[in-house]
Amino acid sequence: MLDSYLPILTLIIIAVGFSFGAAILSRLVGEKKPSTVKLAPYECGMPPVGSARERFSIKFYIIAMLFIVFDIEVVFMYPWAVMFKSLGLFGFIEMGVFILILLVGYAYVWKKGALEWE
Amino acid sequence: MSLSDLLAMLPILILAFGATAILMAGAWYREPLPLLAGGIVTALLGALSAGLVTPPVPEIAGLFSAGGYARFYTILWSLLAAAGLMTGSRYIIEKRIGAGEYVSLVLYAAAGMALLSSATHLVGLFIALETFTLAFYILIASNRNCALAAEAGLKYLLLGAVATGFMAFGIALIYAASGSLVLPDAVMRLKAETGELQAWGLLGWGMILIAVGFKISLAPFHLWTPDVYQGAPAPVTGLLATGSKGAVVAALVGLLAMSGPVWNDLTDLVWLLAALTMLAGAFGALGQSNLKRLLAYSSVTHMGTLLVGVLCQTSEGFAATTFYVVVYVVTSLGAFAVIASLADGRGEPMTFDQWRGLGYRHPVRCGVLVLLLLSLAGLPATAGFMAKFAVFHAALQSGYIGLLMIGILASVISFAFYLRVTMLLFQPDEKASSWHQGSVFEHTVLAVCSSAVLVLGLFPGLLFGLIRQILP
Amino acid sequence: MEILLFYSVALVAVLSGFLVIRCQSPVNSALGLVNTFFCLAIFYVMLHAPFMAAIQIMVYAGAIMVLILFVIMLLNLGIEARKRYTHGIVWSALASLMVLFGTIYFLKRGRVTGAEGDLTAFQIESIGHTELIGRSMFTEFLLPFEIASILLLVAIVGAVVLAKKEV
Repeated sequence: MLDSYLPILTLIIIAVGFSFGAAILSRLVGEKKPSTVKLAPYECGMPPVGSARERFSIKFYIIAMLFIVFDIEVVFMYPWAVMFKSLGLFGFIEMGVFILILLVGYAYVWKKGALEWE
Repeated sequence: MSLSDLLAMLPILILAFGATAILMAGAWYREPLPLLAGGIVTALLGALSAGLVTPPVPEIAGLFSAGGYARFYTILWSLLAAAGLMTGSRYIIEKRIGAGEYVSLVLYAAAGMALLSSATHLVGLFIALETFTLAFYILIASNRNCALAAEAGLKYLLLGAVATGFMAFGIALIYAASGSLVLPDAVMRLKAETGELQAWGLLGWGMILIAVGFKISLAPFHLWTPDVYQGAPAPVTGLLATGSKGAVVAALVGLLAMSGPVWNDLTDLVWLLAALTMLAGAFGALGQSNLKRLLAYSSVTHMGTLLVGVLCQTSEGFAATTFYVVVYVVTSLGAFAVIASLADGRGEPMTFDQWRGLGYRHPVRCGVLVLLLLSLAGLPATAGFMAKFAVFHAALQSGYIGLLMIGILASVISFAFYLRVTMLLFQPDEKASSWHQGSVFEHTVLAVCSSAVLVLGLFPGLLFGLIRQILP
Repeated sequence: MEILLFYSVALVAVLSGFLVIRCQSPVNSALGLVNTFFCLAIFYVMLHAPFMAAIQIMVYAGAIMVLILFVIMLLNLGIEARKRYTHGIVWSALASLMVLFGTIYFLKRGRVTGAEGDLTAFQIESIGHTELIGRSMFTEFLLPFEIASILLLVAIVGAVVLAKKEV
């Protein structure tokens, strides 16, 4: 059973190995001549102003929240897509109702202007 | 799912699709009054269809019952939603809260409560519970200019999430132990070998009990109640105190009545919970100086008393519990409606200083409040007395003498604080200020609630006869 | 072999769970949480529930985590605020350990009835996990599925009502 996950495991090992390897290698091989200017955070060539950890606007939050809700909607579609043929027309209608209800949500969000960047 | 299934859940469909339509309408037309009227009509239609349309099938998709018990509660929660919309009308207009959202959330909550009360399957139970809880999270925090409301919303959300976790875990354990999610079936299989619940099933039921404890605020899971009731706007508190608790109790009664004496192994635990809850509520209320917090503790006591009725696990106990739920819903809703109807630009009258002498400024509504408080206290000739009497009588017949004594003690203590509020209302005070006159909607709700309390107090047989017929 | 895998993953899960509540910086806590989610996904795989594993990573380690990080950055509490609340970690750890041992003792005494549900590991092997979920979701549990769409709609309304500037 678990054998079939061997490719995923290999992929994870390679990914982790690569990221760690690159970091360690650059530390070992790379040349280091630190100066104040070099150690300062890079902000497109401008001198950095204030802390990088500022408060985010709540605008981001509402977008993230809506993303999650629609993300979960998509999750429901995977099992449906897998069984699409054997479920037939009835399954299609069921999914149609599901999507219709969420389409109402989408129209609501749109009309309310929650997608606009004010 | 077939057409007959759809017909059987017509009231739910009316509520849910009505809510969706009003949500959509609210996004385009901002005028609150037509939306509110539409919501009230939808709720009444839901109640009407539950009462008039006989379901062609006994069970909907194997998840929800369509029997008399389910229809009874569908009517009750639909009417509750209508009342919630009526009491909330002025609040949403004055606080400029989206009418479409408020109306649709209340209707969704009513649909969820109706589904919960009729659940026969653990999955149905879970999803119905989530539906109305989610709507309440939003309703509680809907007034965004009020820090207390935000705090209340957050508290309810966090504890609600914990309760949801316990509920899901409990359901999983019951499934692991029995291999079934259909209730009577799951219990049968759990008991198959020795006639007792097995450890896993017992743990599962314990977890569900904890989740129920959070939802209906049984001690020691009741600590959120006063804060949330105080912070939430009064119309929402009215719904929260009545519907969200009543629906959970209704589901519990329905499940226990269907699946036989499940709780024999849990009796001691439930006994302790009931005793603790009644006392914690009664003693907690004594020190309060805020009417909404006091009503919160009072609701804790009432939940303890309800649990006594559930604990009996006899048909008389279930009938008494159902009667108690109806009476509690009507009375408590009325009490919060009085608070909502007095609210004006300054907010709602909450502290006892604000209530002192108000009986002379607003005699009718304070009179109604006194009537409702006395019914909550269980004064004879009110509905509250008959409800308490029925529950205690059932407890006596099942042999729970100790619990009966604790219940009577808690009732005596609660008399003290209800009387304190009554006296406060009619204390002469020159500084008492006038509050809002209230709208027609609010006065209607108050009239219905107070007359229901009187009618049920004088003729309890009307409702008892109906309840005996519909109990599963 | 499999039991070894289970215990090593469980160890990582518990350790990262500990990090979540112990880290000074909330962002580190969030990363610990991601780690816990990954370990849970591995558990799902071991329990023959690959679909759940995929969802766990997609929704929890992906989407929910983004939201949690957003909240952390929205609030962005200063160092002082973080230090003000120290968790009573020793006491709560002791209490939860006692509850854990109590539960284990209690469960050891009882027996599992051995009743099996309709879906067995064998069926999952032969038909496929996602297929089985799809089949039961669109036949037996159709109604909860449709109610879930209402639930999501309510969540959308909630996001707009609570986070939008002017509704």
